[in-house]
Amino acid sequence: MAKGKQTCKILKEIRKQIAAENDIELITSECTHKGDCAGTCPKCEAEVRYLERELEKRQRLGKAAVFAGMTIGTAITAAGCGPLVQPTAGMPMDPNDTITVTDSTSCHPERLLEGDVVKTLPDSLNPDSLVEIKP
Amino acid sequence: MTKAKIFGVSRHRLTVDGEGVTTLVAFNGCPLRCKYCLNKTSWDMDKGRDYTPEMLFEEVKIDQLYFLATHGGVTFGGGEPLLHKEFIKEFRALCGPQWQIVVETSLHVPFETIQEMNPFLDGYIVDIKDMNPEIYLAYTGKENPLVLKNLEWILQHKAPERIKVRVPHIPEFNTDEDVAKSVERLKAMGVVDIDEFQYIIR
Repeated sequence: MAKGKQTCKILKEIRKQIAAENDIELITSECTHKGDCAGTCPKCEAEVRYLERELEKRQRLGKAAVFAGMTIGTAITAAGCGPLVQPTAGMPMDPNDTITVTDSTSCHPERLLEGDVVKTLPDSLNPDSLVEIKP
Repeated sequence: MTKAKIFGVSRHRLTVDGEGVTTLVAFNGCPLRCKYCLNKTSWDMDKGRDYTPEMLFEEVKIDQLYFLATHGGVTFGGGEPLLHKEFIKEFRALCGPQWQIVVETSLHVPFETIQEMNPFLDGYIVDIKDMNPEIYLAYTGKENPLVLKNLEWILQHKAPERIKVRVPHIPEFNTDEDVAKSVERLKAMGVVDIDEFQYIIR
């Protein structure tokens, strides 16, 4: 579930940036949840809805929403997370890269869609099993 | 009313399907039968849930703020998303021009489909498999001249940085040398964003 926590941190940083760029007071608190994290939760979603309401208020007053200069890269850096990007052309490939084959029909955001390229393997997975080909 | 079977909607994907925060929408239906298909669910047209463009828009607009703030949006995959051109066009009309709409496609669709859909799309993630026609045929069960023709066309009609081409190392089907040849050919065609990666089958 580390991926969910990481997603949560990055999304939170994006919300903070949106608030800062639009002069919206957003008070966030450290998440103390210890269990599974899907990357978002009712508290996180409530912050998004709050920002939407505040932006709408400003738009009614004739102020356009400002999103200038916001990138995932800056959010990742600010959140103190490692890179989430796939290896790019020319880079040495990480032997731990794999393509998961999991059922995604539940649409649970923490479960990976089939075809996701992930950077790390589940702890329980024996790396040796990855070379086995099952046509 | 336009409807499509969708077998997955995955929110908050960060940079893996295009720029910014994206939601991946996976359609059923694919013209290829790749040996190590990662989404065999997509072959079965009975699985998944029926959506109209309106239903999907209502579901995914929950992340509109993230999309707008990060230059993200919706990535349609599957399966082959370009088999659902009317759905995507109607969805674009609903979401407007500010969301980025990207398709993760094999480009194994009629040339006319590419020409028709290009104005509605902000970018492509092309799963090229291998440029060698024999390897492509062995791996997918289909021939690739159509794919190459479509790729050439989109390179002329979309900014090259909007076209990512993914080149997999496919166990038992291509070698490192084959992949290097594919990359070389793609660069010669004008592809600037090439994502070379490894299939590790388990």
